[in-house]
Amino acid sequence: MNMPHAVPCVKKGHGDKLCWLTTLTEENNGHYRQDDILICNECATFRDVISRGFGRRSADQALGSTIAKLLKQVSDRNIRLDEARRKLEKKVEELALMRVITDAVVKTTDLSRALKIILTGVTSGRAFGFNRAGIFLVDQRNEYLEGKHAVGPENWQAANRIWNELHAWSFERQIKHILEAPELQKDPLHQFIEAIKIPLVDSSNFMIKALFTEKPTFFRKSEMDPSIVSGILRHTDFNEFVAVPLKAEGMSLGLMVADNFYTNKPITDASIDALETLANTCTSVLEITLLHEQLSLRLQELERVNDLLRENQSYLIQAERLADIGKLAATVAHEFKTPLITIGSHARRALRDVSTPRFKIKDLDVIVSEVERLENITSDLLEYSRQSKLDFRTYSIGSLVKESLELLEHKLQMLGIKLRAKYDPANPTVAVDEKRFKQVMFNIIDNALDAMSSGGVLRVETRENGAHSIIDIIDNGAGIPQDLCDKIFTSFFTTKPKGSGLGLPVSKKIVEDHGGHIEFESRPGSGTRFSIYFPKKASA
Amino acid sequence: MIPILIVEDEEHLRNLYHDEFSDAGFQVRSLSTGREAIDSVRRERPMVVILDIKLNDMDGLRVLEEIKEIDRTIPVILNSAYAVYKADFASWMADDYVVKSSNITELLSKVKLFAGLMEDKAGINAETAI
Repeated sequence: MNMPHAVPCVKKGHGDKLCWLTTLTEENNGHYRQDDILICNECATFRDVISRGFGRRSADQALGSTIAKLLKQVSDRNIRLDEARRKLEKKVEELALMRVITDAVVKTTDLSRALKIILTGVTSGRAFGFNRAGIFLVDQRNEYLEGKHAVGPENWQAANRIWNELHAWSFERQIKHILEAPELQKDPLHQFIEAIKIPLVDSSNFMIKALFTEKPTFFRKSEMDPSIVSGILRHTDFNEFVAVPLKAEGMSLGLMVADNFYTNKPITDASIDALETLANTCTSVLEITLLHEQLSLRLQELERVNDLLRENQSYLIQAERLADIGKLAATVAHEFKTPLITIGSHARRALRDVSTPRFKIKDLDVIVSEVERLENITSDLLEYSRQSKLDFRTYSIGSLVKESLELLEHKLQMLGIKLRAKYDPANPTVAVDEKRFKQVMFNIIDNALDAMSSGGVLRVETRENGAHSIIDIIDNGAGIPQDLCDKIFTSFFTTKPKGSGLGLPVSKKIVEDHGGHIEFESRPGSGTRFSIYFPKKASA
Repeated sequence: MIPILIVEDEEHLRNLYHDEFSDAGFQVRSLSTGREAIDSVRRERPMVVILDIKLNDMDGLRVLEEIKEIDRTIPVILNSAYAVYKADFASWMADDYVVKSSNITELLSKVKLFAGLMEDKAGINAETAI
């Protein structure tokens, strides 16, 4: 092929190569090297070659200049594409980093670790590339902005060392190390930042101002108030830094600051944007941690209250028991007081009148009688207060009733009372404490006998319904007057002069302790029926 | 003789009170239920009433109320084994409160006191009555 005007390339130093024509035919992994096209475009020789290559005719000239323009367009586009590709790559790296950071941050409930992970991300060379980063948080009481965490070298030597060492460590490995370390190490920078505590009320303070603004604040040493600069310089040297507020629902939670003190790379808008993204992650983390802490506190509180309740419950039960005992004691005391007053007043009168004609022997009778009554009450009380546990055994109801009646045979005979017993052929079984059962039988039958005079008839019958085995004790005695019906189960209530008034209330309690109940029906003048219900025991 | 009313449900005690206050010179009516007591006061005004709080048929404090409604001027002495009612607002309607005791000296002297006052008053009324 005839190469018109083949001239050696001067720009790119390819002495043996010709002008752009040759270059273009060389492929470099399928991409034309962008630099070459750029350089060619600026090269006078190239332009000359083009113009000469197409001859002197104006049409050719026009063609030549169009080609040149097209080439320029292509090269411009290439440049733009390259830039866009670089930005995209950077963005993808950032996102990847964000992903690693957020993945790591959710793995820990320890706020310090989470913050360290985020700050390590900020100072990671890959995407964000700040040298130093720190976090300040508003304290619980909303009084101070406190330095909480910082990552970064504290001086040049450290900076160098870190870069050389950690260069070997991948970012993921660093994060893993933070997550798994049993105890977090505090870098000197961290220690330094922890000493900073600024009152929120100091609204002229540049940090506080940055805290309460919506957007990040950029600080450059040369543009700042010298007094403020000297204030900062007392703590650390700096050139420029950026402070991003951490905001949640309009509330300022804290401030994230970052700078490039060692590399002095300018802080670009892009890097501030990136920082803001991480700041958002930070805010989310803070919110979650706060919630977590609150939950945990609430849980602790609840557990404590629960414990207290349980403790108190046992106190309450005890207190109830004590109160019951107290009530019982009071009741007993009252029951004793009146007879004692009777005894006392009659004794005094007898004493006063003993050698005089006024002396009444009846006084001594009254004393003896009241004492007897008190003795009955006392022995019944003693008997019933013996807190022996119920010994439940299985019996057939018929045999129990029969045995109880056998023991009363003699008394019935003495009183001239006829017994008519009728037993249910079904004869269900019950689980009872034998002694207590018989106690109940005696109490109720005793009452029945007291109500009847000689010639009366005592009927004792057993029957059953769905759930219960029932014993009926029926007398044809005087019956219980209507107005006393409510009182018969009251402790110490009795119509008998020597009665303790405990028989029925105790019987009721025994039956109820067995899971049963007592019913009664009475017609004054014709008689009374007591029905005792015991729960049936299901046969095995 | 000065008429007094004793309301006490404990039989032996009631009898003892009846005897002792009769011996002391009073004209004693002794009753065991609140209902009877109220009816009696309605029919015949006593000079003094001795009232037990724990009665079988009704609360002694209710009886106190009713008696006071019939005639506010009749002095009522509460005589009760329970000391706790002393602080009870309802018992403030009573003119005095005696904690029941086997020694009836306190009760006796209080009745005499009230009877003496009442008698004076009755005397004055009799004098000024036309």
